[in-house]
This record gives sequence, structure tokens and C-alpha cells, in this order.
Amino acid sequence: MLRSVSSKRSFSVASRLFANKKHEVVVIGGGPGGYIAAIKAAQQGYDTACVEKRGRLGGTCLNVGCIPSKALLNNSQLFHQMKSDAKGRGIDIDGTVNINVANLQKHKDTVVKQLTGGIEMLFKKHKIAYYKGEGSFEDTTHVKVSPVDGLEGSVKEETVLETEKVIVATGSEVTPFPGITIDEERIISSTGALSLKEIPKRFTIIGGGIIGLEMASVYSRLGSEVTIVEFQPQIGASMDGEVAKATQKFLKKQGINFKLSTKVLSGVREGEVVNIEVEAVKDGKKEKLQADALLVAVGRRPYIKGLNAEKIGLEVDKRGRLVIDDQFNSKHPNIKVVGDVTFGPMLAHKAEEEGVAAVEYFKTGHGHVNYNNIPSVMYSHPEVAWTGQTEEQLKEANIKFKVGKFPFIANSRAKTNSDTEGFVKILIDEKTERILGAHIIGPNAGEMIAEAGLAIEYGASAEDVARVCHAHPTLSEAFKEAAMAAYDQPLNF
Amino acid sequence: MLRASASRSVLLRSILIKNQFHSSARASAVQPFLMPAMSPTMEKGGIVEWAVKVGEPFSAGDLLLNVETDKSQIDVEALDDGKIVKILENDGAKDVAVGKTIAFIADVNDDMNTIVIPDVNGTTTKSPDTEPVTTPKVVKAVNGSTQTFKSTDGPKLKADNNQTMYPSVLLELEMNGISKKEAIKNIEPTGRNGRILKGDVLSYLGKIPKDSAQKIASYIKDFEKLDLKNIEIKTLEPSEDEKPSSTADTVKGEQPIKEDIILSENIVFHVKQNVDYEQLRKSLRSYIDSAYHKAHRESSSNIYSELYDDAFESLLTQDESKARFKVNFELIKVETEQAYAQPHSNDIFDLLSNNSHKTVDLEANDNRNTAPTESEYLVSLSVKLEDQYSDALDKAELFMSLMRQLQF
Repeated sequence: MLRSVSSKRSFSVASRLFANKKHEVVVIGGGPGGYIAAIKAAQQGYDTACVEKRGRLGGTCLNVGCIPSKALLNNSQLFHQMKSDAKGRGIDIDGTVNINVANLQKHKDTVVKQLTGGIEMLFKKHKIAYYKGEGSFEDTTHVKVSPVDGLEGSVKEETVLETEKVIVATGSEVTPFPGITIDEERIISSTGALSLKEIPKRFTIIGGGIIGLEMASVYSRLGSEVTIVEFQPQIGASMDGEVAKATQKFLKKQGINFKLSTKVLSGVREGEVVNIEVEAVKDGKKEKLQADALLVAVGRRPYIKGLNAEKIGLEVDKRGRLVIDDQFNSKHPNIKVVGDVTFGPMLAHKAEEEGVAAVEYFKTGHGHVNYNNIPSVMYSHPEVAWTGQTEEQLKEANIKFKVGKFPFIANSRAKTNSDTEGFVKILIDEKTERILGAHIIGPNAGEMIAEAGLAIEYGASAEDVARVCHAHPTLSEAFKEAAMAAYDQPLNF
Repeated sequence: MLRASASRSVLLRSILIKNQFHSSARASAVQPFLMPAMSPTMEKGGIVEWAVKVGEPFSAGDLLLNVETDKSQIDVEALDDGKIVKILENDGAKDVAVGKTIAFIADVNDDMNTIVIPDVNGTTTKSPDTEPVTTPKVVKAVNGSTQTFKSTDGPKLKADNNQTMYPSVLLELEMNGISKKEAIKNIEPTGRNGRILKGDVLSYLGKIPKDSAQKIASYIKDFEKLDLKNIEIKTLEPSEDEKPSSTADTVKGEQPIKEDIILSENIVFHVKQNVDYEQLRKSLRSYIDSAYHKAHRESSSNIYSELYDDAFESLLTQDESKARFKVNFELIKVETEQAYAQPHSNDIFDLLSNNSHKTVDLEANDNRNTAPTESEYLVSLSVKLEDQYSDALDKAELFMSLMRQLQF
């Protein structure tokens, strides 16, 4: 151990004297923010390099986040439908429908592998130099790539990249819960929840945000008895209040238990079980829970370990986010920061937008990210998706608005599919009828929200959406009808 | 009556002018109209066209003139009623310095004949001091068109001339007998890139309060940017050399249990007898290698469509570079008349077939060398598919067909 440390030292001394490699843009981090920025930079003609220490591109999203969770969500839903729904739809299954956890995980791993491999292909196509190793700042124009032990394909020795421009996209990590030790076996983070080898009988989740609710959906469908403990009186983080309540109702119907306004005091593993103590926020009433697995899903925090940000004086705020200006500039104008590691919602697609914008600012001085129109999607069933303003936000700002709602029970396609839970809710300005927010809970909400995004980006009024011909019979008709309901009247309700 | 796009600076300037107008003596009831700054960085500009003639009265909101900057043409409008007394810089004037007197205006009721026009130079020198203190926010866009200016905090824009009108807008215009041209000229857009929104038309038509569209646009605008106010900086402690925790994040890929799909085939071929087994095996291996590579290359190199995109294809077919199948082979000599492997003994085959000439002697060996006959070999191929690739079977079959052409 000592020996390796001292040898590293001598390397870095040597490396200060000369730079091994030269690039115009170095992106630190190969997640959605970083890899997109790298591709964009290469497309803009920059000689680009990307440094990633995970060993696989795609970041949290692709490796331990959005993608694997969606594989589990989709397949568990399929399983659930086959088991509980097939008969009523005229599909008789001889024998039993069983879940094979190993193969479920295998399918997920295959998908992840293919997608991460796809990014490597894109790097090759765009001739982006890909350094597997840990990137850290030597100074504002030198990024050192250090080998990572046990990482396949890792750089062999410390390599210093001289560069004009740097984009930091180091992402985020799971926020630990004070006092609870994650062992990824019985007490798990979202990462562990994505690769459980068995289905826990009793599954308790701390945090009723999107990650918690999605994992609750997966394991509840697979047969776990799920309890969600949330400190806030409402689930779904920044969801529109009405939609959050509806979500809770639907999930409850599926058998998920909720303990809202409840504080977790402790969570201790004892053998093969986890003992959890909670306390009601209002009356301080304590309660003991026991679970076979405890998921800590209280959020994520910026990740800058090993970046050596302090060496070049990069600033962070009290939540650990790297400080930027409105053009993603850190203190040093040649270093821009995008994605989870800085301000704004921690979403892959937000990071991608920023990655593109940051490169465009470098290249042209212009960039575009509309933070008012970043969609959020929760892939429970029914799905929940929203963009723009919530009712609560508008009320707080004293904006007079009108609401148009349309339930999927009145939509012919939803009815045909026997999948009618939920509604579309569109908020428009009272006078100008400009669409301010769209909130969908129901089948395919995550896809449908794109239409709302387009409408909001273009400042469309509800009428503009309503006057666009929507195919029949589709779920998207519900969106059109909700727009009609907002400024006039729906036709099918 | 024109409303729309007087920029804040112009509005302020107009107010200023008015103030001077009222506070100064009635005797010189004429005020200089100064070249307006359409952006904080503007130093000079051109006059495209005056919209009002000398002596013509105008009212608040009327278009006075069109000013040209290096970025765009911007309308300048009156905030108050008045009358043009004299125009100093005519249509087409270029490089007029900001703050220079370009015209004189007077009250609507002033008699043109009694108006005394002050000395031009006397008023221009004053102008720097009368510059409005508040200037609009600097728009950071540098080399782009003014299209990126936000209507609420830069110079107000003209509607984009080439825009596709929204259905709601078109209908509203049609119902009110407004042509598209008129709409673009007169309606102040609050949409991105100078797009006219339904609210803008409704405001213009007076169907909703005038400021409704602006109000909601500026509300939305606040949310379009990251909230970077009140950042509490925390000092970063130099971090200890921590193990990168992202490795903990890494999915431990379990070795998936595969059900193998194996194609197997036996191919029989003949070679001259003097060929050494090891040599044959070697050249067979190189043939297999080249067939293997050819089979893997085939799909992409055979596509001549100009729409063919390597990266796109590889996403569809995943990992083009990865092996689609693995080949194992065994080379077996089929013992026919001439048992090469054991030239010195008769085996059961010989006995059964009564092949007496195979009895071993040096002569026989010589015979084989000088008058070579062929011996028969069997290649037993076993091709294991990597079935996670959809094209694995195709490629394996292509490989097999190449193998069938095997000849020595």
C-alpha cells in the first residue's frame, strides 16, 4: 500500500513537467451529461477526450439508474399482468407464471451492456479519446488521469491531458441516511435494489420520491410486502399535489403501504432482518418495523471525489454543488460544469441538455436550456409525468389559471386496453390561455409528456394543442381533450 | 393605434423628453428627439425610415421611425402624443451617434408657424447627461441575431416575418380580418424567437388586458433559468485520497447462464496425400479464420446505401466488433485405402477390404510420393452462437457456406 502511494507521488512530479496528451476539450465523466457533451464537442470540431472511472460509459443512469430500473419495472409489470390480468383478457395460462430472479437480472444486465457498448461505438465514430481512469485537476488547463485498481482497460500510468477547455460532469451518488449503514445486502441503496438476488418478503423503503416509488412498484409486483416511510406529508417530491394524491391512491390499491409524515429514527441489521424505528412527525408516536430489506432512497448528492476541485479553487455551495453562472462557467471560464454535480434537478435528460449547451457556449457563445420545461417521469403503473408549472407553484405566485382535466376512463384506447387509471391535467393562463404546465398520470404518460414539452417550448395555447389532429384511437387523444377542457369543453367527457 | 415594441430605453427616453418639454419654458415648446440606444452597447445606428411626416401629429404608441443597428431593425414608438416639427436625420441616414438630435417634436396643439427651433448643437451636447440611467440588461448573445432576445428584457422585437402561425393565432386573425402581414407588423410577440402567441393577439385585439401576455411571459421567464441566487459557498476541504465510491455503484455483472446454440457440420474434402497433417491443420485454421472474419464483416461491407451509417447499424446490431459465434473444429483423417497415419501397419479396414498393396515397404512410400493419390479428411465444425446478437445465426450460416467451399 505504502509503496503504491509513493510511486504515485513520483509520477505526479514527473507529470507536472510535461503533458502526455493534448486535447482541445476534456470531459470529466462519461454519464449522460459528459458523454453527450463529448459527442457534441467532437461534432463541433473539437479534439475531444472523455475521462471515466467507472469502466463503463453511461454513468449512473445507464449502469445503476434509469435504464436498469426500467428493465425491472417493465418486466415486473409484464409478470404482474400475466399473473393477474391474463385470464380476464382471454389468455389462459396452463401451469403457473413464475418470476426467475436470476434471469430477470440477466436480461437487465444484457440491456445495460448493450447500451454502454453503444456509447463506446459512438465515441469511436466521433473519434473521441476515451480514457478509463480517474480524472483530476492538476491546474486549470491540465487534467490528470490516474489508473484505477482493478478496472479493466484502465490507463496504465498517470497521464496528463493538456487542454484548453474542460467540462466537468462527475454526477452524483446516493445520499446516505445518517446513522444507517448501507451494506447492499439487507440495507441497500438504489444500486443494491437493482440487483437483489431474491425477493424480500418484507421490503421497507425510506423516501417516497421517484426512486423509492419505482422500486416499491417493482418489488410489490414481484410479491414483496412494501412499506414506504416518507418524512413529508406527500409522496412524489415535486409532483403536482393532486397528481401525487392520485398516485398514492393507485399505489395503495396495488398493496403498497405508506407511512407519511413519518421520521426514521434508526435502521439496524440484526442477522437476516432489519429493525427500523420510526416516529410520527405530528404526535411523536414511535413505532417499530421489521423488514427483510431496507432501501434508503432519500436522494442523491453531487459527486466530486478525486476531482481535486479544491486545487484549482472551484467553489461548492453548502449542498456540495459546484457553483456555476448562467452559462455553466465555474470560476474559471474555460471550465464548465453540467449535470447532477451542479444546480438544478438531477435528471439524465437535464444533464444532456446542459452538456450540449455547454459545448455550444464554448463554440458560439449561445446555448439553450429551458429549466421551466424539463419533464419528470415516474415509471410506476400508471406512469406519472409532468413538465412546466404545478398548481401549487401557480397559486403561490398568484397567477390566475384555468385547469383542463380529462380522465383516461373516457379515452377509447385506454378503455380498449383495460388500462384506464389516471387523467391528464393541463394548466393554462387564465387570460392568454398559454399552457403553463401539464401533469399526466396514466398509461404511457412518459411518452405523452413530450407533446406537452413541445407545446410549452413554443408557448402554445391550449387551443393550439386542441386544433392539432390526434390519431384515433390513441391515448394521446386524452391530452388533446384535456387541452380542450382547459379553454373550452372536452368532446368526449 | 400602435402599441408594441417600444423598448424600455425608448420608453424612458420619451418620458424624459416629455419632462423636459413640460418643465422648459412654453416659449421654446419644442423638444429635441435624440437618437435612441436600442441596446446598452449600441453606439450608433442608421435610420431606416420615418413613419411620420413633418407636421403630422402622432399619438402614444404610434410608430415614429425604424432604427437599424448592426443586429436588427427596431421600431421606435411614441409614448405620448406629439407632432414632428423637423427631421434632421432623414431616411437612410447611417452611423448616427446615439444621443444625437435626429428630430424636433412639439406638442400636438402647437402651431407649426410659431414654433422656434433651437440650435441643434446646443441640445446635443446636453444629451449625454439626459441618458436614462437604467439601461436594459445586457443580452449576452454576441454574434447571433436579435431573435434570441427575450421580449421582456431586451429591446422589444418585431414578430418573426417567416413564422408559421399557430392555429389559434390564424383563426383569431381571420375572424378579425387582420392579414398576416399586418399581424407581423403590429402585434408584439411574446413567444420565443418572435413568435406571435394567442395571448398576443388577444391582447392586441383588446379581448384581454393589454399586459396579460407580457405578464405571463415574464413569469415563465423566471423559471427558464437556473436559480443561482443566494448561493452559500462552502469551502472545500482538500480531500483525502478516498477510494472512488463509484466502483461500489458498478453493477457486478453476474455471469449469465447461457443455453448454447451450436451449429455443427462435417465437411469432407480431399487433399494430396503428401500433405502433412500438421501443415494441413494449419492451413485449415487459417482458412477458418478468414471465413470467420469474412462472415463477421459481411453485413456492413455489403451495404451500399448512402443512408448506411456505421454507428446507427452498430446500435441496432450492437457491438459490431464482438464475436457472433465461436468456432471449434477437429480435423480427422478418414482412413481410406491409404492409411497415411499408420503407413506401416494394416488395420482392420485393410483386412476387410483386402487391400494388400498397403503392406508396408519403402517402395510403397516412394509410390505415394511420386504418384500422389488423394486422401480424404473430415473437418468436424462446431459453431457456438452468441445468441444475444440477432445477427449471430445469419453470420454463422454465412460462415458455414464459406466453409463448404473449402478446397485445397
